[in-house]
Amino acid sequence: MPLLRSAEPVTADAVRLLSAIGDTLGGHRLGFGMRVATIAANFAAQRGCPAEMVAASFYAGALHGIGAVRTPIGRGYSERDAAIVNWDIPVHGALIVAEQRGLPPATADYIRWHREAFDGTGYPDRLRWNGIPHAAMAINAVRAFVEALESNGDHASPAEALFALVGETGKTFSIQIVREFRVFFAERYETFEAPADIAWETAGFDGFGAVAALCAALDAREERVTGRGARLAPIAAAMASALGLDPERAAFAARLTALGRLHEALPGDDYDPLSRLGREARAADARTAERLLGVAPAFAEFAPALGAVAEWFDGSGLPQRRAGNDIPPLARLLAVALAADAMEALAQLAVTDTLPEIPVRLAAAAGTQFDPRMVTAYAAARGRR
Amino acid sequence: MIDLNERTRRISGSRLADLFFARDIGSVVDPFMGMPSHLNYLKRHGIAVHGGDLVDWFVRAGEGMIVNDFTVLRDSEVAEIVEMLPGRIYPVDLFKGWDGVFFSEEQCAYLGVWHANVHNLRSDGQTGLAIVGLWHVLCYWLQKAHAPDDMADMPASELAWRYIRETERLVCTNNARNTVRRADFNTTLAARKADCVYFSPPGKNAAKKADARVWMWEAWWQGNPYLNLEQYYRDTVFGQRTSDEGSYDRAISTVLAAAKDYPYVIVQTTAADAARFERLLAPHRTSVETVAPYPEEVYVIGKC
Repeated sequence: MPLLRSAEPVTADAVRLLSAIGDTLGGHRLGFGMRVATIAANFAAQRGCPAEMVAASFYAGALHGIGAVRTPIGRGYSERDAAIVNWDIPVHGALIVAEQRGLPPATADYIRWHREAFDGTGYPDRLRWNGIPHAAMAINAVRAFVEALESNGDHASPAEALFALVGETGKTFSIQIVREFRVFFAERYETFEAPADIAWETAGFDGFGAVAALCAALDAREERVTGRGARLAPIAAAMASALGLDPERAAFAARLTALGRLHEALPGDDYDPLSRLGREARAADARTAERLLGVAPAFAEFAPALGAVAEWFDGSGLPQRRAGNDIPPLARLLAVALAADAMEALAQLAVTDTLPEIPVRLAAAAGTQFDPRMVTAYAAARGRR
Repeated sequence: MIDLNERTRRISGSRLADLFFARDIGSVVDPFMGMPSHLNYLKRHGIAVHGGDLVDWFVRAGEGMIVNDFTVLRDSEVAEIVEMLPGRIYPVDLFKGWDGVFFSEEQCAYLGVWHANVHNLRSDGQTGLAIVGLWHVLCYWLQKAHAPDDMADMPASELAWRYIRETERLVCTNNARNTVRRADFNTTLAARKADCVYFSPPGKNAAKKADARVWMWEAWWQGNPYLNLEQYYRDTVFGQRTSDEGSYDRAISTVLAAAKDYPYVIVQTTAADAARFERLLAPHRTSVETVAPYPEEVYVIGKC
């Protein structure tokens, strides 16, 4: 994946975006992972860890929840089954991170074992005692602290959060790690979240590639949309070329459409994409993507377009009821491509249309749901393929 | 107060799963399984697992975590384990030898009660789960003896309840037959056929250096606070004869020879010992490779 703007510090923004995906899937506020990362790195520095271990703690803290992108979407899991599915999240996260070049090598294993418990009741491996890497347990301690801190919203009490940690001494956390965290808390609480001293520009890390790979994994969570980003990218690029837009940006934006699909249930895709039913769900997905992209400046330029893919050309779409050229061109382009792809998926399931009916229906929606120019460009792009 | 090991071998089921999936390994035998958490992970991911050990409580734990596909302990059954049942006579003095040495009088009484209650369970699966759960209580007590002010005081029955209930999560099925046996490696390896033999070899004089939490729990399970684990290994190739390097190498070679019919052998070791195991594995295998994620976690993999 070529960099769209080679001068940008893509590593930082890619990590922020990936972290935000983990936050959303884990049911946390946006920024949770980055907060864990910063405190974990400062905690490692306080313990006198070498620079590479500090960096690995940072990246592992930021990306600790990313494994959830490989968790299959389960509707109707029992509480026990859901817990067991969650056991694999650290392993998935470790494998995802191990596939990325450029991150400190220890990052993957810190993620793999960050949910192990000192007493041997953690997951995924039920490691116990000193078999758990100290740094992985430190990340878990920070994660638990931040979680306790955020659980009370604006009424968070750091002392109470610390108490939650201390109460798990000898169970989830070793005596040593809790003692170290208490010292860290006592000496450094005011500067807990001071920017960590991390070298962002890691050699070989492909930020755009990492985000694209994560989006592909998100698509793969449900059979119907598996490979959608990869399918749409060349179509979007061809449409953009025909319309005088940047084909690389269009192709990348097509891959980013997966970012909206972070909900456990996906009602937006249960409806005919050309019907008004399901607009709210599709708009909610679009807003999720927009919100996520907003956390990372290098990707923020895609946010307005991804946030408007559920708008209708005639102004009756959602969430803002924008109309005509007020809708970003990339959003109008993606709206057609997404709808066509959804119709093809439904046709293959024999739910609604047959494949030959799809261009006819798209043409019929030109001027109301879709920009007619985009429908024409789509037909041309598909014909060219 | 008893010394607790500062170093613990990291046996990671998820790491093994990565190695297995990369090599299409669908079944494994571990003749020195110890606490079979790693086999439980592999079972949960569809791999048929078979284990063996000479320490009985490990095998009983395997009955609960490996062989058992469905049976859990319900609340009423946990209640019957953690507290004295009216009308039953308990051997509360059974572990009096540990009183004031490792545990308090109350803790020793609980150990006696739990010993009797667990032995009265009717299902092997439930017995195994209860043994695993209560072992965590023993570990907590021993750890707390080291740092009494750092760890919370919890009533024994509450601690036992928490840890036994937690074992429910270990119960899973992989639609395959999984086995454990109390036997030496020869018997275990001869009894099963699988794609791979995995083992983390016992160290030299392993029985003498066994973690207190391991031998004490065997003593608890056997109802003999003076039990000595060395007696289990006395007549095996890993008995006292392995105290020198040459004897230890011969013992490992015996295991590798017994595994000759298995397509893969994976030996987990450390960077310091990797060269030794590569050398020992080479005569038994056509190719040997080493995967070393960490200096303290090295896998020497031999393929037929």
